[in-house]
Amino acid sequence: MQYKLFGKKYPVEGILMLLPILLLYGIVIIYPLFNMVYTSFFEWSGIVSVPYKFVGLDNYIAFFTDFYTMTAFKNILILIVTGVIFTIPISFFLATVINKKFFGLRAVKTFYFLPVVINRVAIGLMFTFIFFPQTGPFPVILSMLGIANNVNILGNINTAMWGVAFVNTWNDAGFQMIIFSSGMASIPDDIYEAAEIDGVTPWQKLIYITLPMMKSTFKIVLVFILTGAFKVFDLIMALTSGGPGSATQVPSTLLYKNAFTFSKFGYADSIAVLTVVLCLLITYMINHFFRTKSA
Amino acid sequence: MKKKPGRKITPLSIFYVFGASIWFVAAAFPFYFTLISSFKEDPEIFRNFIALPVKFHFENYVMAEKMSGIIRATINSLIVSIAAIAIMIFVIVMASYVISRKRIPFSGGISAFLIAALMIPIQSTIVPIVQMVSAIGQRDNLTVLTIIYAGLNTSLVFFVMKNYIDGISREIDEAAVIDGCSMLQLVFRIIVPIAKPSIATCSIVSFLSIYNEYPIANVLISKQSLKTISVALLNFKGNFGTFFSINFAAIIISIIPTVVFYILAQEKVEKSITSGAIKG
Repeated sequence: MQYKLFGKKYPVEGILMLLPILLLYGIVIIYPLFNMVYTSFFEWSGIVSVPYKFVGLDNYIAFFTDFYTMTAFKNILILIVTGVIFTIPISFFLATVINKKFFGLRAVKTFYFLPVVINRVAIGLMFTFIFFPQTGPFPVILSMLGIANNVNILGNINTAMWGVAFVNTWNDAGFQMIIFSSGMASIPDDIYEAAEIDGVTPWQKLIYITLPMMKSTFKIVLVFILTGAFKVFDLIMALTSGGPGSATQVPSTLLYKNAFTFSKFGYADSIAVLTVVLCLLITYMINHFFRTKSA
Repeated sequence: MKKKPGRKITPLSIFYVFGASIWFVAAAFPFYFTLISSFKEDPEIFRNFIALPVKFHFENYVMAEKMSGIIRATINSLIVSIAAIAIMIFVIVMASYVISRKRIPFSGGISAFLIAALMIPIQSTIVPIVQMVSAIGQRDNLTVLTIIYAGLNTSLVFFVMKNYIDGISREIDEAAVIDGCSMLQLVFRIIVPIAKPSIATCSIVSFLSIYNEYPIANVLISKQSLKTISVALLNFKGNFGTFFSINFAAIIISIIPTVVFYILAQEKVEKSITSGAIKG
């Protein structure tokens, strides 16, 4: 069976075979996205029989004046900063390690990468024990090194977010490593061979060949670290559930709490909309920045 | 261990090996600590973090299952993930073929529409998804959860799959049509076998994200017997947080499937995650 449109013939099966994904995508992604933007302009308690109350931009204004918002963005900033100054160098270093050939490479690579495939909740729980006040391995190592005694990292308002950022770096390094590693593998060997003939030191090789050739990889990693900071959720729920107080709240945990604890659905949706807009903006800016720099 | 034979030992290379070893220990220690602690008695755990258990207490694992049904939750998660991936691959392979071969009007526009959500963090739509499911009164329904999971990764999977099918020669299609293949037969008898590597990539990336998914499942599923692994695990901490060794046993049970999966297909998992990430 066929039908005609604009003078072209198409088989009917084509439509039938496309229909399921359009339905699924429409229901699971597109409708919720529009509903999210729509609801963000209303006050609604989440009870189906209660009508929406239009409040205009009030939810957005409330978000920017909310006491927790500052904390949430400060915490996102902590995640981003630790990502840039720790995760990037560590994962780059690890990538150079796994791109070498040595005995035991497979085992080393496995453990470097393992945190990536593990459930974030499980990782969070593991680290609640590693950070366990006073008697856990991490506090004990700290006091052995004479840095601090009897610390309770996750229970202290000042250190809790750094604890989360530490776990996040631990968790994320393997992922960024594998991206760096594939970027390194795509640099042709003859460039290095030519450089070696010219008597270039390993350090010069890194600065003048590897880093410039990996610009697009750095771009990808940067997008992941910056937008990834907004996606850290499971880890925080397992480590601190946003506490102590609100010391480790981020936008995603605030969204969750407002929707499912306080039943402020319109407000939660406005946080979601802002998160989406911010992530798109960050991605756009990074792409733009790298384009103008290479021009 | 990490030194190539015949190479000079310089301060730089010592630093290098040292750094690599430090991270190896840092990456492996939490797993080691969790594993040995899961066999210990509570007071023994924090007395020595490195020593093997004096006596292996396998009953910790039995208790973990008895207290929270952690094995049941693992099975739930596995079933939901596999079913969701099957649905996802089935509908997306068909659609990718139809769009790739332009057997539909506006194929370019539809393709762009399906890829549009690629850059959007999908977790942010959790509120409307929960709203929608509550509105039809289908909380605590694993079938509904499966369908949601099947749709969550649409953009990425479609993007990877369509690119792959674009690269399959059209002459193969034509030959099949001459032999009297219908379009559906063509997709499942000819395209699917050729596209196996791409299907594997998509399945691996989706498996890890679906099996480990937490926020949506946590809101939608409250019945004990239907809980998925992330939900059961976090509830475990809330209810039995002071039973340390049993907590450790629960963690080990929950990570076994993904660890085994990764160890069995290491290269493939690493490649899939890379290609999924870079294309996305």
